[in-house]
Amino acid sequence: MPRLRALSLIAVLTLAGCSGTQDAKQAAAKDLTGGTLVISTAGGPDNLMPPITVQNSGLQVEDLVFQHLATVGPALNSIGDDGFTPDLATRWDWSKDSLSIAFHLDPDARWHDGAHVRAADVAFTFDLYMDPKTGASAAAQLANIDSVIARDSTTAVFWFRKHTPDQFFEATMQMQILPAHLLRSLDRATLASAPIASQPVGSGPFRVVRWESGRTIELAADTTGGRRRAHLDRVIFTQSADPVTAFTRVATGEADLYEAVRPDKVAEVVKNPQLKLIIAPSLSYNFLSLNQVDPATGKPHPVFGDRTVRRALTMATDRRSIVANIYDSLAVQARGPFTSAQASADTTLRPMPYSVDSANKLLDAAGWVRGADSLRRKNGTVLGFTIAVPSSSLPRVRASVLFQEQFRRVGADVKVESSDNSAFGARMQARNFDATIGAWAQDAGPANARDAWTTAAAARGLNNYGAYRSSAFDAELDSALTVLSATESHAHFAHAWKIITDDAPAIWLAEPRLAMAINSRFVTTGMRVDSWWAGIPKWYIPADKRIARDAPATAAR
Amino acid sequence: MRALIHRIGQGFVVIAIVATATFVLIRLAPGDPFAGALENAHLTPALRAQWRAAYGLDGNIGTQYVRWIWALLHGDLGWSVSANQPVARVIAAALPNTLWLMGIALLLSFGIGMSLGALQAARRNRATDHVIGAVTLFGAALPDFWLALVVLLTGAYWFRVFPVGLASDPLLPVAASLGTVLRDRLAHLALPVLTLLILIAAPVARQQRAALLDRLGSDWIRTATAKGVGPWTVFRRHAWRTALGPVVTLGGLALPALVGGSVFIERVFAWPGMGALAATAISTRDYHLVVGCVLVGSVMVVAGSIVADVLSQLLDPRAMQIESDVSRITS
Repeated sequence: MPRLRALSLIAVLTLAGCSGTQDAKQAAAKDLTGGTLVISTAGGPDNLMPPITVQNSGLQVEDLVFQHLATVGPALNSIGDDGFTPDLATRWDWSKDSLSIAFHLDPDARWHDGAHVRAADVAFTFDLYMDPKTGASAAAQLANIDSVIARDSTTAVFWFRKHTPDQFFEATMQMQILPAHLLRSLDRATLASAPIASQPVGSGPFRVVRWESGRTIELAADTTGGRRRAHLDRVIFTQSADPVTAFTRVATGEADLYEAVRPDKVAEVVKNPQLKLIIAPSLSYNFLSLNQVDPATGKPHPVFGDRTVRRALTMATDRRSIVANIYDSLAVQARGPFTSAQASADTTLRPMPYSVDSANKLLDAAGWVRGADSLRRKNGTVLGFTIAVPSSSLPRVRASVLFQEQFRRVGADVKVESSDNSAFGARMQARNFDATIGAWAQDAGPANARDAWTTAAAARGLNNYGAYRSSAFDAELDSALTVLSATESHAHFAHAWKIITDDAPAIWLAEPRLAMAINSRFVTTGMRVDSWWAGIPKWYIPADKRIARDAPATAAR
Repeated sequence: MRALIHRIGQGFVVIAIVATATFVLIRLAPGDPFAGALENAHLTPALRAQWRAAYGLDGNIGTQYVRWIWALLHGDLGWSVSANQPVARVIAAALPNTLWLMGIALLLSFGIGMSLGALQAARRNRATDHVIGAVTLFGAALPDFWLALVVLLTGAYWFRVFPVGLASDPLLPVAASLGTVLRDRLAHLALPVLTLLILIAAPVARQQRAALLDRLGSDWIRTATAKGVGPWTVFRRHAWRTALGPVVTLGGLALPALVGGSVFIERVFAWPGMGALAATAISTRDYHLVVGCVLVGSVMVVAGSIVADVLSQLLDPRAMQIESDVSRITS
């Protein structure tokens, strides 16, 4: 185990150290154009229409095919426009009252069908995202934008309802600009089934050559736009439903990249001279959610309705050892409802200590008395509950068993119920669970916790499945999201995290890290914590390391 | 002819019952096509409900059933949410792959299995019989998922003779010659076919051996031998031909796999066939795709069974005579 950690540490990629400018100079100095990147994945996209895409594999393709107006920097700062780099917009101007931003588009930008990208496309895109018929998941994040108008053919002006710290982030990162001339006539209610959702036309560095659902997506470097073309000729996503097969394709050299290396495969990657291992932080965290509402009665949960019991159960679990057991070095213990890589993180926050003695004392104090059978009871009710997990997630199934054993030691009778992903999802939405191992894959924005943990999101039908309610937490989070000073915002976030971790609506478990195996002939750069694939247009293969499939591309079958 | 029409009518009823039962059962299972993707906090239940309505998955089962039947009558199997394509197109892409894989695997498995069984029977209680018996027993006892992984790791990872998965090389140029394409397809077929061969040929061989040994002890074999018929002729003409029954039955049972595919094998070898497709459809609650897969499978099975019945009647004069007698009596 220590050897594995040492190997992993050697391979840790310091994302902040990547320098796009330096790479651009290198690219200019040498001919780095050419080559094929074959990505092996275990899942495929649901569609390739940005407003309605849900699957991560779809987002990866879209980020290569479409463009944002500007992109967030490696530090993921979302206050103002610090760190943002131009993308479709070459520059932008703030109004004096900060209630509008004028984005000046690259006048040479073209769609992959050759048409020019115009400000009218930006206005159309906003309208499309906000139309309830479209059903865009980002619509709520765009609510602060009042309107978008095309001042002239290359200037799109965003008007905001109020000046907020993340208004620039919302305007740029929550939308990818779409071609109005191809989408205007389509029924927005059934966009996913339109042919363009399978063969999208974007303005990004790669265009879609073909998509064979469930098998292959081939992208080719686009040369019609004004931007500098991507170094690689082709990016091909190949799908293998079985993760072992998906990984083996990379290990044998048939594919070049697999993004979800399991802990037991890390040593194999390190030993393979053809591969290199990249380990990086991610924006995902998981937790054992403790439902504060009894699913049977709708009243406070007999066990988790009591804050003292929730704190006791948190102290009863050795989270560090659970994380190490499941993930080895590919995760760190979570501190709260955030990850260390986020700008809003408080990396000084200390998790509640692991202390079985303290847990027992708290449970005694809460009136849960141990019986002869070692189980605790209160007013005749056994301290018992079930943990619901999706059977498709091996880490979560394993974690549930470890939790079960650790809860048993403090007198809790815990059962594990696993179900397939769809059944599990239906159960979550119906809030029909006592406890569940949940996870949030966050975007780079600051407002993720608002959708997952606030009182407003606790209403039935929204995403605070455990129904945690705290006006103090809500107030601090609201302040964090509205103050314009980064320092003040961070202080409010820190207070909010302290409140919620003290209340223990969940037992914060792990921040899994990205573990990626990639063929060593690739020089990778420009990865961001929220999207490792964002740097692909800058990746290249030195001429002396190219293999047969890197030869100038011929159309693939 | 009347019997044939009767069988076709029965077939339609069977298909309708199977499709309807699948339509209802998959909807009774918890979840729906939009219940997954739980880790995105921006996805609200209201959005999911909107998407359900957009794909005609709102309303009660009865309403959805009427919609589906109406679409089916117009030749529309519905929309696959997971593949983002019409169900008919998704199945049309997967079915040839399964027919290709399972057709070759079944052909080879039965050919080799029957030959091994015959060899065992001919060499009864000799070393050849014992060795093949041990090997086929081992093959029959292997779990398919485990065997597939072992074959994959051996052939593609440790020795690197064959590609790891998929039905063809995604990098193969469009302009590749027919020979190159054929070689590529055969290379991708090798490991999944080998796995299926081990799994299917073993029980076939055992069945064939048992049936042959049973026949070889029969009176008519003794009679034929006593009449001076040569041992090879006795074996081939009198024993083997009559011992084909159980193997043919086994073949009939295996036929649905031609269209249904093998879930585990297709999954491990990333083979884009009907088995993997149906498994994905079920796990993602892709309602229309699940029913589409079942519908196609049941049509093929019913059609196959009718064809088999017709063929057996044509080949067996006794069956034709009985059929004729029954028709006369009933008329």
